[in-house]
Amino acid sequence: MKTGFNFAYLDEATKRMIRRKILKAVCIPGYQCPFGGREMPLAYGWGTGGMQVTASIIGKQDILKVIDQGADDTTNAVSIKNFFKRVCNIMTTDRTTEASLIQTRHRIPETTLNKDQIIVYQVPQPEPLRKLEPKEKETRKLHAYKEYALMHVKLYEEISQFGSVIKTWAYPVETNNRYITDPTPIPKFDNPKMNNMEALQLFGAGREKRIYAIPPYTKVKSLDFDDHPFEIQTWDECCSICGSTKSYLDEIIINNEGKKNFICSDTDFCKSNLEKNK
Amino acid sequence: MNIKKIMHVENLTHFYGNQIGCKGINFDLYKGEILGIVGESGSGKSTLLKCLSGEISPSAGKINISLDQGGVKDFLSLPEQEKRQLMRSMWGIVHQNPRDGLNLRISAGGNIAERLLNVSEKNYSFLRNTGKYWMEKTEMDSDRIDEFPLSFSGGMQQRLQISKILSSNPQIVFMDEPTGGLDVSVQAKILDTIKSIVRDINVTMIIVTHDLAVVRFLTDKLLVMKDGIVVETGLTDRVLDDPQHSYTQLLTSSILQV
Amino acid sequence: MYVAVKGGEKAIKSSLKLLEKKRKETGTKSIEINQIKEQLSFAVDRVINEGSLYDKDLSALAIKQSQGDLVEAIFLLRAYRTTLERYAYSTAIDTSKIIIKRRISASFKDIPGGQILGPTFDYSHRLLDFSLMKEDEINSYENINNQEPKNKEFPSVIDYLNNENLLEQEINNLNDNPFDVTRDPMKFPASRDQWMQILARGDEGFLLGLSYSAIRGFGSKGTHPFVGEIKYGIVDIFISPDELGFEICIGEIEISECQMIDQFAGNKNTPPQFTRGYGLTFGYNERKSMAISIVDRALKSEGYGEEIKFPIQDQEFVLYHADNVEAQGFVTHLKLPHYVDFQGELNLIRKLRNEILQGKKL
Repeated sequence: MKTGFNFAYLDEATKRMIRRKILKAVCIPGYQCPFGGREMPLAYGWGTGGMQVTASIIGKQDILKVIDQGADDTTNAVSIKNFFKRVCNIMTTDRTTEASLIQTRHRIPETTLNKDQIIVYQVPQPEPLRKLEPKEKETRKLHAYKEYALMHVKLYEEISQFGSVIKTWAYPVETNNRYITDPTPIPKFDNPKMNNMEALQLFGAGREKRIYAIPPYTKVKSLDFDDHPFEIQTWDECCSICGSTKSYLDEIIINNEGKKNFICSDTDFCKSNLEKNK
Repeated sequence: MNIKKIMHVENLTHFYGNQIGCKGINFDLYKGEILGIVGESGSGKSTLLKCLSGEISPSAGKINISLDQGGVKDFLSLPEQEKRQLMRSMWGIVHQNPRDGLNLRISAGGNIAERLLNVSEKNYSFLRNTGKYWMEKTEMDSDRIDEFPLSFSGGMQQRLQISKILSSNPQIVFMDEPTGGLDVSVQAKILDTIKSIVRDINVTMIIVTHDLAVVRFLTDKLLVMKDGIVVETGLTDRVLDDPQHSYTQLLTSSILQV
Repeated sequence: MYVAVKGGEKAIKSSLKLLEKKRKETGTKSIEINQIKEQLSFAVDRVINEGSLYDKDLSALAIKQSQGDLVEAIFLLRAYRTTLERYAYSTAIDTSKIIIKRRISASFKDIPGGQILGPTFDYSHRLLDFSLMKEDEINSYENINNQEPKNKEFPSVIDYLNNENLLEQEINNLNDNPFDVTRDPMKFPASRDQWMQILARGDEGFLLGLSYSAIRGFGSKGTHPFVGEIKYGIVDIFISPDELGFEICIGEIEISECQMIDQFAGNKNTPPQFTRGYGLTFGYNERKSMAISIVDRALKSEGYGEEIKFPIQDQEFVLYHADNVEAQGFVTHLKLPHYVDFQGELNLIRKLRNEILQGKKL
C-alpha cells in the first residue's frame, strides 16, 4: 500500500532525533527532556506527543494497541489507530497480551504488562508542578534542586481541608527516588501498576514538547505522608458485564430515571474476563 | 564563654550603576545576638539586607558564614542551590509586608508546613502540631490553622509570617521593618511577642528598621547607616544613650522630641 | 448498551460524510482555488502567516478544505509543512530593497521616497456594498492612475533618528544561526529571534488583544508608541549554499513590515532614548505586523530593566499562548472523553459528602 508519506509519517531524521531524546529520558528516569516536537495531523492535546513517540519507535513487526479511557473503541483511539494503519501498514489489536506497543490516554491496562511491551502515554501537561508554579524557568529549578516542598504542601492542604488527599487522577509520583513526575491523567487506581513495571513506559507531550520515561523495574512511589498513606479507589459494586471486582469501573446512566450501572473501563479486560468465566 | 561567630562581613559594597548602595560595611554576628541596622530611607540599610540574604550579589566584599554543619563557608560563592536551601530552612526573612512572605493561596497551617517540608518532614500530624505550636507561640488562635491568610488582620498576618519562619528553627532570621506597616498599638504587641520568643529560643537576628524604639527594645548591637556607609556602631544602649556621631545624635534627639 | 464506548470507527466515518455534505448542501458551484486566492486574499495571507508556509495556492486549498474555518486551515497547512524537507535557511531579507506597494510613516510628515497609500481599507467607508450581492463577472482591473514608485530603495525611515543617537541600535547578529521554533523546543529566557518567530506565526487575535492591552495601560510605563514606518511590498529571498559560496535568489515574497517607535525614560546613568518594536509578516498583514511590533517592544522590557508587571511583558505568558494551533488543540481536547477521571471525581465527592453528612471526621 502506498501512502505518500514516510513509514510512520515522520521523516527519518525527526524519528532519530526523537529516539535520541527517548534514550536520554530513559537514562534519567522521570526527567522531562525538551524535544523538537513537530506538528502532527492531529490536534494538539489529542495525543500528538504520544503519536510522535509511537511513530519514532514503531517497526514493521510491531502490533499496536491504542486505548482511550481504557477502551479500544473510543473515537480518538480509533482515529489514532487508523492513522498508524494508514502510514505504517502494520497489525493492530485490541488484545493487551498480543500488543507489542500500546498507546494510551488516561488508563493503564488491567492486564499486567510484560518486558517485551512498551506503553506510550499521551501527556497533556508534563509538569506536575505547573499548577503550583506557572513559570517554566522556576519549575526547572525546583526539579534541578529537588525542591519539592510545594507539592507536599498541596497534599497537606487537601488533608487539612477535606480529611484526605482529594487528587483522584494525575496523582503525582516520585520516580526512582528523584524526580516528581506526572503520571498523566490516569486514575490513581493505576498508579501502583507503574511501580516496578516490567514494560518500558514512555511519555510524550506534543504541545509542551517534552518526553520522559520510566525504565522497566523502576521504583515509582505515589506521594503521601507517613501517617496518611496513599490509597486507591474502591467500589462497592462489581462490573455488571463480567463481574470483576478488581478493575476500574465506569459509571453508566442507563435510563432517564438516572439508574446507574458499573462496567469495566478496560474493555479488553472485561471481554477476556467474561470469556474466562464462561 | 566561647560564643560562636556565625557571620563575618568584610568591606561589603554594592553599587547600582554609579550610585552607592552601601559601601565598606564590616561587622561580625555571634550566635544568639540581635543586630539592629538603623537609618533613614535611602541610607543603604535595605541594600545591605539584600546583600546579606543573598537577594542581590554585592559588587565587592566578603561574607563568611559558619553553618551548624559544614564549617565556615564563603557565602557569596555558594552555588544557587545552596543559597536557596539556606533561605528555605536555615535562614529566613520576615518581610515588612507579610504578603511577600506568605503564600496567600494556602492556609495558615500550609504556610508553616511548607517551611518544614523543605527539610523533608513527611509526617502530617507533626506538621499539624508544629503549626499549632508556633501559632500559639506567636499568640495566635491555633484553631484558625486551616484559615487562609487573607482572613487574618495585618497584625495576625505578621504573626503568621513570624511563626512560619521560626518553625524550622532557623539559624539566622532577617527582619525587614517587621512592624512597619502596622498600627502603633499592634506594633507594640508584636514587639512584645518577638521579644518573648527571642528570650525563649535564643535565635540570632538582624533587624533592619528606621524605628529607634524597635532597636532599643529588641537589639543588642547597632549599626547606624547614612548615605550607604556605617557612621557609628556599638552596643545598642551605648549608641543610643551616648551617640558619638553627629547623625546619630540627630536621630536620637529627634526621637526624644516625639 | 452504552453507545458511546462502542462503534467509534463507524461514527467517525459518518461524521466525515456529514462534514462533506455540509459543504455541498444545495450543490452550488465549487469555488476555484484562484478565486479564493484573489477574492479572499486577506484570508489567504493570514493562513500563510500563521500556517508559516509561504504558499498561497496551498493556503487557498486549506481554506477551501476547511470550509472557511481559518484556524482549521492554518492547522492543515502546518501539518503539511511539518512533512517538508528543510533544504536551507535563507539569508536575512533586506526590506530596504523592496518593490513597494504601500509605505507610510505616522511620525514624519514627509519622508524621502514619499508616503504611498497603496491598497487599504483605512479610508473606505465601512458600508456594506450591496452591489456585490450579485456581481456577474469580474473583469481584470485596468491600471487606473497607477504611478509606479520611482525609487527602488526605501531605507528604514526611523534610521534617520540614528544620526542623533536618539534611537536604540538594533543588534546585528546576522552571522549567528537563528533559533528555529519549528525545530527546537522553546527556551527561557527567550532570545529575540525565538520570540519574533513565535509572534510571526502567532494568532492575530491574541496578539491584537495583547497589543491593545499595552496601549490602553496594561503595558510598559506610560508610553505611547508611534508608527515609524509601515511597508508592504515584494522582496527577494536569497540563499547562500555552502557549496557555492555566494548568494542566489530563489524567489520573491510579499511582506508587511512595521517599525514602531517607543520610549525609554532612561535613568541617571542612561539618557532617555527611543526604543523600537519590530513586526514582520508574510503577505499583506499590516494589522498583525503592528500588533507584533508592540508585543516585541513589551517583551524587551526585561532587557531595559523595566518592571515586569503586565501579561504582555511576560515572556512565558505571551510565547506559550500565542500559537493558535496549540491553543485550539488543547482547548478542544476537552471534548475528548474524560470519563475515567470524572469517575474518580464522582467517587470522591460522594465519599466526602457521606463523611460530612454522617458527621464523621474534620
